[in-house]
Amino acid sequence: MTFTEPDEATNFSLEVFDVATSKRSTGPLLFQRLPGAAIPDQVISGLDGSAFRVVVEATSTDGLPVGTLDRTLPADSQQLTVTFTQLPILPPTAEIGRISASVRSGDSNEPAISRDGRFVAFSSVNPGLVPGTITSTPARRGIFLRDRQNSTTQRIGPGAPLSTFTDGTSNTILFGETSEPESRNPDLSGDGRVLVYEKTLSGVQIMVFDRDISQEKSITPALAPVGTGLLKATGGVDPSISDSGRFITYTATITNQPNQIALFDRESQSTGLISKTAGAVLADRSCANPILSPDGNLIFFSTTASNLGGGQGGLFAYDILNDSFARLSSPSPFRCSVSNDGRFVTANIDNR
Amino acid sequence: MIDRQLNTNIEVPGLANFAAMGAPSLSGNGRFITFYSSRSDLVGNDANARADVFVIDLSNSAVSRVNVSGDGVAVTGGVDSTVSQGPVISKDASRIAFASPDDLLFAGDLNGSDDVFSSANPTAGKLYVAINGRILRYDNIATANGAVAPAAELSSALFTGTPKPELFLDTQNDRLYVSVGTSANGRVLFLDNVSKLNGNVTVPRFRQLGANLPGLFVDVANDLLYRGNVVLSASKLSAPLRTIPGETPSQILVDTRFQEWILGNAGALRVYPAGRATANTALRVIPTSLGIPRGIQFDTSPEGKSSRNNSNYFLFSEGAFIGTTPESGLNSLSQLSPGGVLAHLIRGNLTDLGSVSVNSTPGNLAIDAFTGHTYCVNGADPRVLVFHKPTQDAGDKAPDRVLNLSVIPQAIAIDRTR
Repeated sequence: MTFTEPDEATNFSLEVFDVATSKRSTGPLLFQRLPGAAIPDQVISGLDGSAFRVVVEATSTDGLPVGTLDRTLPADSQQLTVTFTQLPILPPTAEIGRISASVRSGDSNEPAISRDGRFVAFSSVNPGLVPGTITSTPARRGIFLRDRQNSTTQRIGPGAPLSTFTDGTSNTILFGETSEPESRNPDLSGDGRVLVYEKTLSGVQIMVFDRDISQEKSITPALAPVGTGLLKATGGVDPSISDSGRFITYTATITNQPNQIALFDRESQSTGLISKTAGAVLADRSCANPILSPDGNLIFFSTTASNLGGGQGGLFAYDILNDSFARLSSPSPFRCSVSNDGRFVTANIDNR
Repeated sequence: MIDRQLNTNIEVPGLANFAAMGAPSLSGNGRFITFYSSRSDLVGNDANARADVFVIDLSNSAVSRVNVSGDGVAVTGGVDSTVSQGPVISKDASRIAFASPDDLLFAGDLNGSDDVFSSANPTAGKLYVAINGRILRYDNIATANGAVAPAAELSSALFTGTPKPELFLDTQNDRLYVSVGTSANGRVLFLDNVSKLNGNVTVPRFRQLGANLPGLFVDVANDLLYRGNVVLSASKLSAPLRTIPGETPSQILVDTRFQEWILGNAGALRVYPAGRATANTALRVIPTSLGIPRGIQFDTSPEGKSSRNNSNYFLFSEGAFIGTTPESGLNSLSQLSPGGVLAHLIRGNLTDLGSVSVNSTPGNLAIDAFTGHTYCVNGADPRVLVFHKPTQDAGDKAPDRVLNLSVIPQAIAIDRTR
């Protein structure tokens, strides 16, 4: 079998797994390309007649994954030869960069970008984005952060970069194993320090990850004051974070209530429901897709509610400082985007 | 788009039919919208019959396709039977991220899966030109080619008697520094809100210096202005904070990542600690037999490596280059043929990647920090030559684009954030 190595690759590992048991049969074999030298073919003999899975990983000098071969060989394989061929060296480009660099299959999407474009957060089921990962089935979606300046990719979450699995004889790192909850739909603060995303735990919850302290925290379920009582947001979706990273808004799920818009203040560690009337009556129909203006002063959301003022349904703007609503449009858009000061708003019209 | 201040809906010219468009994302200043669309009439040569990612500049309704391949020339994005979508634009409008399964977008992408890409915003960009007392501003220069006209003449007689003025643009504060003066009376002028100026700049703020010191660099983060061999406060009209005796550089460059102050002279580069430190002993002396350097820049594109051992693409307009090593930083210099060489690159452990030759005498340089494009004044030529990543191409190189200004520029600066 032939592995075409990317031009950035300098370090390689080769491992062979028994398909039936997932136990490591051979390896890892670690080798390095010396400057100007080719990598000799790697020959593994003495396979015992069962089906084998062969994984070759290539990393750059700074440990970034740049290439992977993952193939299952039939049961009658007795000897394995891996031949390395090198891609032509191409000049890197700055006009367009591949944020989710991996030769393994697995979709990466849902990008969010920091204020200056340095950081890009995204969700992915691709196991080849960080070193040392071997996929399992079914793959679960995770959150990743690419630092374009330092050319690093970080998996976001507890125990990062990966969870571990012990099979009794060897310790194999798995990506997206069934015990790893699925995460998706990230957003990040302007400086890329704080990320928010959905995570499927007991229902879909809103998570906050602070990179400075490498800490993940769930901000749902949460109790929010409404009138003289408290309502429990049992979970949430569609998180959006302010440029400063202080405020987070999301669509809150509440038992026996239409979905509402919640606002979490990381400074006071408090949650409030903003989709309610001056008399503390919740929106009478579902609200969704909240977006914070970068300055953190406004929340834009779509709703079909009829009791928030200005008519039924549409795109609403909530002024946090003045605790007031404005109805901006009658159609209820899927999601909008906002200028820094909240003056300009674009709404999605998806007619595909 | 909704303008909340004026309580109006804004119709975007050129996008009257918003059908088959989706997922708009707005820049922080509200000027750019990126979106995806399956329409094939938004730009020329869009024949892939697939959804593409576009960005529109609302200031002039110019639409550009974002999902194009990275070689700066070929436009192949989307021909791989794919759909590119989900774009988001950074609030500073410099970058656009999107998802696409198109393996043709990036060399070596063979996985056939959705990937996330990041592209420089192909629109926008402002070019500032100093010429015989005039400061001209050209807009939308990121993709312009051929004859261009200034959007504004900020002043017709801002300075006189300066054979070679210098410009430094502080994009963070939207301020342009202009160094002018004679050999006995140097000044640095300040033009605030420069991207919004529309002529009639008569009495800008200025700092009087005791001499016309060549070389200008502003460290915005530390509020320091470097002028020749002196350091001053960039925001206060104060006396020099530090002077390096005996130095009369013809060009300077401050590497803010490593806080090094590189003074270019005929015969040698001398590297000093940057900032207010009083140490006046050179960290390194880099001998060279080159003539007087006419421009020093390095590639600051975010896609480039930032570690000392694998980057620092230094360019000399007269063709010198500086190498880097993993341990000691700048420590060698090689001579190239004088003139006719735009740039030369050495990378990592002194691996020579070759030089780029042009049929001209390159002068003042400006680097597009988002794409790595080099904008180069071409001697006594009214053109600005734009090269695509000259540090990455060996051998003779023709410019990718030419901006014909109709005036002979003396100094240039570019702002790709506006």
